[in-house]
Amino acid sequence: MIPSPKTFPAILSNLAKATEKQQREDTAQLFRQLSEITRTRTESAAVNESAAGTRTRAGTRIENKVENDAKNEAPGATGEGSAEASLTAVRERITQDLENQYPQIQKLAESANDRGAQRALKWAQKVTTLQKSLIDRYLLKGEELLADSSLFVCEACGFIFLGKTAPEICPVCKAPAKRFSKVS
Amino acid sequence: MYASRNIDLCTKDCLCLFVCPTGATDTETGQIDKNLCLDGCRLCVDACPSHAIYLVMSNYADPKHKDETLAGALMGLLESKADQEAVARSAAAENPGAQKLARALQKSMRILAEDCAREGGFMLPQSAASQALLAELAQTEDQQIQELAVKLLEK
Ligand code: SF4
Ligand code: SF4
Repeated sequence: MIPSPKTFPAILSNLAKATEKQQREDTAQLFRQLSEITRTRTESAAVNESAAGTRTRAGTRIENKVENDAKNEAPGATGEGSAEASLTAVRERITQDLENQYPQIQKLAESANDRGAQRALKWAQKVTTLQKSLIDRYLLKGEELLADSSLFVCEACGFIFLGKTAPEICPVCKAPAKRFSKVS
Repeated sequence: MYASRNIDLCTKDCLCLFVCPTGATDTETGQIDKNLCLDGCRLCVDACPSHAIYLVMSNYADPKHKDETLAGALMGLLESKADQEAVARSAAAENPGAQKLARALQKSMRILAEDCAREGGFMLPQSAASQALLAELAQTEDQQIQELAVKLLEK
């Protein structure tokens, strides 16, 4: 089964990483290019569709369809929005994932006895919860929050850390400080 | 199988240079010359005191079977993360802090999405799902996408 085009960029950038590990740099390069091109194509398609007034979402999502459709009209759904509006829109979407997607998929992973998926979901749920609290802190404190701290992202699990230097080990996946990259 | 060196771990003790029967470990790039490396030899892997060398497989066995409902749900979650990445990307350039946070979120969402892709059957380019996706992309009308997909299918 071929998944939806929205999933292509991440599938392909993941395959780029996999080929890097197999020391096939030229192949990795092609995967990275293809990932970027599919991303720009999906994003411009989303903008066109929303300009034409049609729904921008279709997919095999588990959660509540009605609430989702309402989100399409949310600011920052496509095209440019104010940064705060985009952050609020991301926050609403991740709240839904935390309430619906994670618990339901975790149950599926448990009944399929799939340890890999259970691990991935557990990390993702923690990372997502922390994303949400970081957005909340920003919405509360504004620019002051980042005035003299930086953001670091764990390349292994996606955890976002706010501080002066990267943490010694990632609290979510235990990767060492060198796996963190500073957001410029 | 061929040997590969993790240059971050290599302490340049050079035992691999000493044991390698073909000189494959002795290159100026820091990497092992896989064209000279003997399939499955692994002498350098065992000799390296820094555990800096590992073997890369040329052929991979099929991955463990994935439950299809679960794989489908993971791809749905991936889609959700891709949407969130796109929303974070659309953040306008006004406040530097908000922008930075949006960039961190984009990156974080992508990493979560990639983890879903791995667990959803796209762990390796050699897997059936990855090959099917490339075959599909090789059929698209978009010429740039088509060309890259064709090249990747030949790899
Ligand atoms: S034996 Fe290991 S540490 Fe020494 S040069 Fe070779 S790879 Fe580096
Ligand atoms: S595996 Fe053998 S042939 Fe290949 S680089 Fe190591 S020592 Fe040389």
